Formats: sequence, structure tokens, C-alpha cells
Amino acid sequence: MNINKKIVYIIAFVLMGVWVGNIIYYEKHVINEHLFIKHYYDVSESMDSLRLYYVESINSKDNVTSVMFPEIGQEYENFIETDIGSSNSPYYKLKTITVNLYSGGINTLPDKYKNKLITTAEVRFSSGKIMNVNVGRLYFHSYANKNSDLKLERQSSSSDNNGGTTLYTDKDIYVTSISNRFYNEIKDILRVSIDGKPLSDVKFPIKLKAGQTIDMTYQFKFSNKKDTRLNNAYNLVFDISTEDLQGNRGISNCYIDFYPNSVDNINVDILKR
Amino acid sequence: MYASAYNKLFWGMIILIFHINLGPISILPNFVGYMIIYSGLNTLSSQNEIYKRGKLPAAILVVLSLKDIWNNKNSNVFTGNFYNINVFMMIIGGIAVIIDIYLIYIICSGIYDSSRERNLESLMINSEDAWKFYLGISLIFLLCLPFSMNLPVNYNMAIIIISIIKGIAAICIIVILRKCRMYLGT
Repeated sequence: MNINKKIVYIIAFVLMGVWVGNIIYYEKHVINEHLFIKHYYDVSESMDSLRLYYVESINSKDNVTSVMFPEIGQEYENFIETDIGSSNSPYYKLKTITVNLYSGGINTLPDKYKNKLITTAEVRFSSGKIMNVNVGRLYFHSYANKNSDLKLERQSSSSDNNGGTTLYTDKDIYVTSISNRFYNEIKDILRVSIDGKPLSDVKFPIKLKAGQTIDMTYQFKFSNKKDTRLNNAYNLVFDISTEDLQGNRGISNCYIDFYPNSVDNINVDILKR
Repeated sequence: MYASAYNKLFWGMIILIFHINLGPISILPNFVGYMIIYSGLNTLSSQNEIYKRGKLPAAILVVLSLKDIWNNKNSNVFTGNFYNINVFMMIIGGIAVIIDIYLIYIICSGIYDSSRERNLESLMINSEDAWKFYLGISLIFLLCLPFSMNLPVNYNMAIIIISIIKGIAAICIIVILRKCRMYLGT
């Protein structure tokens, strides 16, 4: 049983090339840091939690031990850390920190958050690492004596980032405006329609008679896969301002969200920059 | 005398193929298998010189496979989980496969030579065929293994299938070792 040395050298050369190539490629992709995505949230009073997303190495055994928002004080937040599975990535995993905002009652945001803007979080990990993270912009809504003339009839959303809300009124009203603080920055990727008409083409006020409905549909559509906003998470509250025939003003809300559901949808190379 | 040595090679190979775990701890880790093979080769050195050349790779494999005592529950080929990729350990694993190929070559060569001396033609052919089968599938395994670092997790199914075929190739060698106990045992 003799072995041809020439064949052995060829096989050794091919194996060496395949191994070295794969190791170099792997090392190029592997990350040692925790990469937080940007979050653009309107946190309404009805929300009892908010989710912060980050990407880490699939090999990481690091866990979050504390979360603090220095802009609203030195108190540590209650949170739960979870792994978002169903990824096919050999390098990364997506994790969430769900910060508990619940204060014990319905629609009662704790006072420390009310009308605050949060842009940074101090996150500590079990490895001892402390990160001051730019989380994006988290606006905490608080309406004084909020009056809603529109009631929810039905709501839908799908995994391909579109959905809709139908609201009805039980009295004659005018819809005077529909607005959201982030909308101007993302209107090229978020298509909002009112009764089938693009929001930008809608002429206000819209008159609604008692029993009539108003449909608001949305779709997130990215024309470019390298669009950095694909890496963002959005939780938007659209304020629908109304006025009845007596001149009483009201605000109703419509909720639109866009969350990454797998690390496969995140461009980690962009996050690294 | 040699029957018990071939019997050791047989049981050593059995331990290398079948793994029994108690939680995260492997009851029959690979290093035990290689130690038994080393012991078998030590005895067989007096039957055929070539077996002596297998002692060093067997001893190296004893050391390299010590890491297998602790079974990583996050990496389970049957569930398709290959998390916790450690490049260094993967390189060590690759080197172990190469040395293992050489060890199997020595064992099959020893059987081939000893069979030729006794005019046991079918055993000669069997040992050569088994070696070629084992070599071929081990090289495919070595070629595919580094891709598991970079390909989507689902593609690791290919590694699982190759590992199963490699196990079948090892079983072929085990069957030959069983025959050796009878035909080359004296």
C-alpha cells in the first residue's frame, strides 16, 4: 500500500488553501463588540415596555447585567434580555433588552419618563464591560387630558412590514392633520396612505360623518439593500388631530412599527462603521 | 497473543465511533480509544514493524483528544447546532483528523503486509479498500470542515452526512479488525 507523494503534496496544498482562506474570511467577519442598532421610538403611555436591539458574536457568552438611561437619572432599569433565534448566520446573533416601563396601572407611564428624550444608555455586561450606547432617539409621549374622537375598529400588520389601521367616529368631526416627528426623515421608505391616497397628497381637513371610518395603511419599502435605515428599529405613533363641530379638539393615535426579526436582516458591516 | 492486540484495536475503534455522554461528560472519550489502540499497536509491533510507526500518532491523538472529555452541549451535530466556533480548536481538530488518517493508514498497511505474508488475499484487498474508503471520506470531511465557519448554519447538514459516512468507513475497518483476530491472531 504505497502512497504517491506528489498526490499527497497536491492534497496538502489544496487543504491548506481552503483552511487558510476560510479562517481569514471568518476572522474578517467576527466581532468582539456588542453592536447596538439605532431605535426611533415614540413611546406612548400605553406601552409597558420597549425593546433595545443589539448584535453580538454567536460565540459570545456575555450577558447584560444592568441598563441605565443617564439622561433621566441614575436609576437602573428593570429589563429582560432575550435571544432572537431563527438565524442562519454563522457569525452573529441578535439580542434584545426589553426595558420594563410598567408602573402598575394602565396607560400610566412613570413620571421619570414623561416627556423625556433618551439618546444614550449605559449598559453593563457580565464580562465587566461598560458601554455608553447611542441608542437613537426615544421620545416619551405624555398627553394632558387627551381626548380621542376616533375609535379603533381593526388593526393589522404582517411580517413583510406593512399593515393598516381602521378608525371610526361616532360623531361628525374633521381630521385636521396627521403627523409624526420622524416621518419627514423616513418618508421615502415609509409609505403611508389615508383611504388609499398617499399622505403627502391628502388635503386637510377631512370631514367624517358619524359612523364613517378612516383607513390608514403603511408599508416600509427599501429600494437599496445598503440603506443604513434597514438597521434601525421604528416604533412610530402618528397623531391624528381632530376637531368636532363644537370646536373641541382631540388626538387619536395610530401605531406603526418596524423591528428586525432576525440578524439576517441586519447589515453588520454598516453597524461596524 | 496477537488476537488480543487486534481485539484492542477493535475496541479502540468502537470507542472512537460511538460516544456515550452523561450530561456534558463523555463516558468513553476518544482519548481512551486511542490509548487502547496504542496498547494494541505496541503488542503488534513484534508481528510487523509497520505497526511500530503507529505508536507516535496514537500517542499524539491521546493528547489532542483530551479536550473531548467535556462535551459541549451547545454544539450538537444532531440538532445542527455548531455554535461556539473556536478557530484554534477547529485547527486542532483538523490536525487530529490528519494524524488519524495516518494512524488508520498504518493499521491498514500492517494488516495488508501481515495478510500478504500469510497469503490471505481477501483480507489484503479488504484492508486496501477500507483504507481508500476511509481516506477519501476523511479528505472530503477535512475539505468541508472549514466551510462550516462561514456558511449558514443549515449547511452544516452536509458535515453531519459526511460524518455519518466517515463512521461507516470506520465500521468497515472494525469489521476487518474482527477478521484479523481470527486470521492474524496467531
